[in-house]
Amino acid sequence: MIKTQNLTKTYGKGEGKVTALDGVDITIKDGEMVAIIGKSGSGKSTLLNLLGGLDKATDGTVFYDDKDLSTMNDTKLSEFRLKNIGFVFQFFDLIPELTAEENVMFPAKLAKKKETAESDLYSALDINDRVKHYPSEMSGGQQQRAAIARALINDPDVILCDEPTGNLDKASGEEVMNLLKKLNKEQNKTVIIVTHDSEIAAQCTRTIEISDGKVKRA
Amino acid sequence: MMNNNDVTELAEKAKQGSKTAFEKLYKEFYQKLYYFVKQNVSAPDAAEDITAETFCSAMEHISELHSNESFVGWLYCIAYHKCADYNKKTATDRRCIDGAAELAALSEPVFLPDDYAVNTQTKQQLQAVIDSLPPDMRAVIILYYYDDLSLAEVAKVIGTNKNNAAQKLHTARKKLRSKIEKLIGKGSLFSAVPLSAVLANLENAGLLSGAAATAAALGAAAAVPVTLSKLSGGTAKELTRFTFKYWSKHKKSLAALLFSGVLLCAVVCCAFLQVRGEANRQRHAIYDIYGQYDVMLINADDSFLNDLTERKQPEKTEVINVLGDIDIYGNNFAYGYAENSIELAHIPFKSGHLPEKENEAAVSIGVLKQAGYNGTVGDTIRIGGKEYTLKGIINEEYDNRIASQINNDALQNGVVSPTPIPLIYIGKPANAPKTLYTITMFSGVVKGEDENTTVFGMPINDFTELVSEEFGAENSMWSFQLNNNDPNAAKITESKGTSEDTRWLMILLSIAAVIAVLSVFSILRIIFAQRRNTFEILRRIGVSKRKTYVLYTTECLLFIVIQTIVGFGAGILFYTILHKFQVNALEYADYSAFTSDRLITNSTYDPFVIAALFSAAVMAVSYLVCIVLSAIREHRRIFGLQKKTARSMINTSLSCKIITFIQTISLTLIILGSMLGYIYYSSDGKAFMNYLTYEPPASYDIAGELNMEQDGIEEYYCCQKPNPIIIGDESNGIPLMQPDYSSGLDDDTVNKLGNVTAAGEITGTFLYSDKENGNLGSSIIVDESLKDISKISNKECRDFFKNGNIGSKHLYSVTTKLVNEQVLKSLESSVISGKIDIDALNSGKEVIALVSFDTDRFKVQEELNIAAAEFNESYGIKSVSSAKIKIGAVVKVSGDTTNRLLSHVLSGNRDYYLMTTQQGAQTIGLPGAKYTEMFSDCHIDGGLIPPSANMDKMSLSELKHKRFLEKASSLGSVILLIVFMAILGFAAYFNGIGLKIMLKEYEISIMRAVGTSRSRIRRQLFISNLRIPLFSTLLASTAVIALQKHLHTMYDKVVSIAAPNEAGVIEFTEDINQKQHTLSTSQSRCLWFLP
Repeated sequence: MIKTQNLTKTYGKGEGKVTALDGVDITIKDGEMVAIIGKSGSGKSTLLNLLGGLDKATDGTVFYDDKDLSTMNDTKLSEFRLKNIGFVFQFFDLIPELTAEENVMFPAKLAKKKETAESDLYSALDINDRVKHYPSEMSGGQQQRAAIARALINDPDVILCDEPTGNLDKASGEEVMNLLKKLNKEQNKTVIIVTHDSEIAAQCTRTIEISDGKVKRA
Repeated sequence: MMNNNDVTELAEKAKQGSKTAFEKLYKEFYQKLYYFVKQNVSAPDAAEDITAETFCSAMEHISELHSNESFVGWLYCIAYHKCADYNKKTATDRRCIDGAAELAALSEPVFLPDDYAVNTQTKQQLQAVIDSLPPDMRAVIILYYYDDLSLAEVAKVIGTNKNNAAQKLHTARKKLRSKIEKLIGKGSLFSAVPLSAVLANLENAGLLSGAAATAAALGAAAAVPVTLSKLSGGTAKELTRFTFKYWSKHKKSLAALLFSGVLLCAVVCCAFLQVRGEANRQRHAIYDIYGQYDVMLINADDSFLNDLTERKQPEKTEVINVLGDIDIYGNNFAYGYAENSIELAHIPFKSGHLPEKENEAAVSIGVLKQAGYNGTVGDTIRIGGKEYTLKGIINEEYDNRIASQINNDALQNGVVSPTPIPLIYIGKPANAPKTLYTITMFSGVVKGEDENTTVFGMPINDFTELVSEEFGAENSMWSFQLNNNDPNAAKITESKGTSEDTRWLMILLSIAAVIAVLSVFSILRIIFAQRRNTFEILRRIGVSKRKTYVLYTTECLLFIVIQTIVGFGAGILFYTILHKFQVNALEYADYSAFTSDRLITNSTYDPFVIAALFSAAVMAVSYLVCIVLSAIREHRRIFGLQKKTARSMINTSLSCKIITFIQTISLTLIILGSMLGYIYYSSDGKAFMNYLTYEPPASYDIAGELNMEQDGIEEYYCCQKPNPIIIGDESNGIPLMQPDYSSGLDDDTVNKLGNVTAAGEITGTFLYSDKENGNLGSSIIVDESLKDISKISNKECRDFFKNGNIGSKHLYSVTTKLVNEQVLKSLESSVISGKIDIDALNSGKEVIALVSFDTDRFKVQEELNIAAAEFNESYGIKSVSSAKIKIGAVVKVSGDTTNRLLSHVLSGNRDYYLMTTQQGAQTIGLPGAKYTEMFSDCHIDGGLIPPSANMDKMSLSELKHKRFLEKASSLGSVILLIVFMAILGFAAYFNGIGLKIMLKEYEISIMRAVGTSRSRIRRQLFISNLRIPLFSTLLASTAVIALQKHLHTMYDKVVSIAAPNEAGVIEFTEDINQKQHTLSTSQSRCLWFLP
């Protein structure tokens, strides 16, 4: 279960101060598939970064079960991220110098995981014939699928997605969404998707709408 | 891609009902149209629908298309109206797009054609800007710039006339520009980001870098394992592997980075070594005059020395034992041996070294010259009747030591040599004879300055008193004085910092260093910009910031270590080549930067430490600033770079190469310009110019008066001319060594050589007569000392002359010239009486009288008695021969009648000579009758000259070549360095421009997108990029001045330590007004101080 309490994030100081998140309280149960929607600048990406421990909240806390992210230092947060969270971003964000396989296996190696189900992943994601390729040699959909494989390699409980279909054509976008839905249903992964696309939000079990840094609808 | 004809054709076919043709058109225009529609309606789904509808509608109404050529415009027209309908329906006001919406658009997917925007983020941002325009303007922009419709077609599509469309386009463009500027920050669109960023970052990093750089540099090697250990086990391995993988994929970047770093290190290392080498030269030159000791005592007894050293232990003590002195041509030279290697006396060797074994010797070149000896190391010489192998030739500077001369007057009445420092060293004899006196030298016993000076730990006055007491207070001719007005000290002060070679080298090398720094920096900027994204991904995966930076740091340290090592290797190699060139081709003194000379190593900074610190600090600063920068970027995200590398950017921007080219030239010009300004308008610069334009005196002068170039002499061969032999003065005695100054060339050989003028001079010939002024012509001036042979002091010589039946006769000294037929032929016009008969000359019956003024001295066919003395090689007279000769002709050689060459060959310091050929001289029995000089106006075949000739050769072409090398050493190396700098500048500039294009990618693509032509962008970039050279010039000039000041200080330190004033050295001088001090042979002791 993921729970936030009075989660606040501000940037800058004095007159230039911008409040990106303003006292957000949300609870996401294990196995939920949640869409966070809102206009850009509403704070949804900031929320995702805080949920993923990429940023430090100005105020408030994020709990993963009983673990308080705000008490962790960067090293511990990174360790936590490595083992418990998988990220999928709009721009596939594969490391260009590594092949798809190396990209996928990188977190596993960092986590010193010996047994991984990468071949199952490749099959499931239909990138078996692409694993030896560099990102530049792959299509957008393939890249995104590889990025999802990387997010899943350490078998995290939570998958955080920031506009996962944003940069894909319609067909590829649908494939990715189906995949995420499948992961949610079959493996009971918690999936949190940041999007501004109401169609994608409609495919999730729950929608949280953020506006001006506040939860408008949970 | 279809061309217009294809489109027209297909439109016609479609009109006629061809489904395939319409399908082709659909495929061709779907994406474009979809994009156009998408810009005009908000929802992507709606856009798809509208696009589809547009094509349906087009298919339905294709028959209504009037002209096939305007199919595209017609299609857009339909789409535009459909969009307008849709927008009306949904009533979405797209006009009011505020900042937030603009940002919202940033995260939307983009379908811009690839030509216009290079990376995804650029596409997004560009789209956001275009989206924010009112719909009609948006449509105009897209149609005109993106879909390449003509203004007329655009007008048709949006349903207006051409003027109105143009108006709309103009307004749209204006709005676009202002929006772009607002987005990026006004005025910064085309600013020189890289360098202003560098400047800003240099300011920011100032404090940080100081501490960080030093720490990083000092602990570079040690820190690598430390930092690696910070990464825990598996992570370390994985991240390290990742880093290697990264660099293996970016070999070119790696190579560029390493190249710049290595170049930087090499330049710095070489510069410091060169400075150090120059400093060594200067310092050695000073030591050559002064030696390295503070106090020198002659014949001080052991108890006194013990007393002194108990007061203060000297840093070093050395002893020379002088065995006696040897008379060479009237001058006495001390000879002796050194107990150990002579370091404090600092003996400068021209070649070779001190003797090591008993039968070896090292002799000052001055002594050798005095003896007319022109030998080389390895020869056998006789000193005091004993044979030695010559192991070393000591340079002239050593003869000019103050210590060699200071007591000249004081010592000249004693037996002790006037040059108490021995100029002749022999190996320590097995059974060393009793020494005449010892010289004990001390270093590190004089401290402080002026009144505070202490010697052996006691005040100067006390020391004076003590020494006077010890050496005889009653003979108080010795005194001490502080060396305040020593002319030599002044000389040294002048020489401080005047090594122009060092200075100009430093100026140029420091500019090169600055360029190399910029180069490293800009490459790093590119690399870090490229990797920023990667490290962001790493963070998301779960690599902590700390680990990321540990990785960075480790990598940096590794680079520093590698670059330093390789760079130093290259620097040393370059310096070694430079040094070898200077020593071999330019004949510089061979004092390398690599010296083990204790005093130099003690008093100068270690060049390696300095260079290592400097270059490591520079690189560490560059790396650290980049790390800091990348950290700042993470927060600011000013430059949203994704995956495109600088390289691919350069590849896609061909035009940028032209910009680069022009800018590099301007950069180089401006740097050189500032340098030249510095040269012309600063005093240092003027000194530099003086050095460059200084013309050493033409070295084509030979034999004192001839100029090879002017007098048409291509080659000149010469043996050492004999010193005049002086007989008759008791104190001068007989010469110790009689040098072999003949060439060994005879007439036959000379004739074979071709167009050669050969000449020789035979001394030791006399005319003699029973009576005073007998039959020699009334006007010959008799050398008084030769009048009566009985006055010759040397018994052996006197006896010889008596036995030769010449003893009681009157002798007249005469010099005989030896010439070849070439000279004789050219003399024919100068004959004033008689005639030149070559046969008579060769047979020895006749000689020619050569006069300058008095034509009455010799009468033709007058009979003369001639005698000649032949000397032993090393000592005394060997034999005397005599003959009767006649004067065949009298020749007058005054300036008018002979050319310069002939004048030189024939003239001397006397008014008259006798002249004969070699064959004639041999018949008469004149000893040493060999040519000593040869001149030729063309190349002489060296093979015809026997090796035994042992003549010094001078060749005009060789001299010219040497002159050329000398000039090349100044001008040439300046040019080389300028070229070197230009290459560096080029490299730096390419890096800089690569970086700039990458950072400006966004702006460039926007400019392209809004329809700015490539040439216009080029122009704008060119103008804005002038900041780069201006900035680099400022930076370079500051660095040049700062660096030069520092290095100068460092360099001065080397010199000033040796300067007497600053070292507080005192000098002991004799007071000549007091009564003369006489030194007894064995007990006399003297002392003096030397700087």
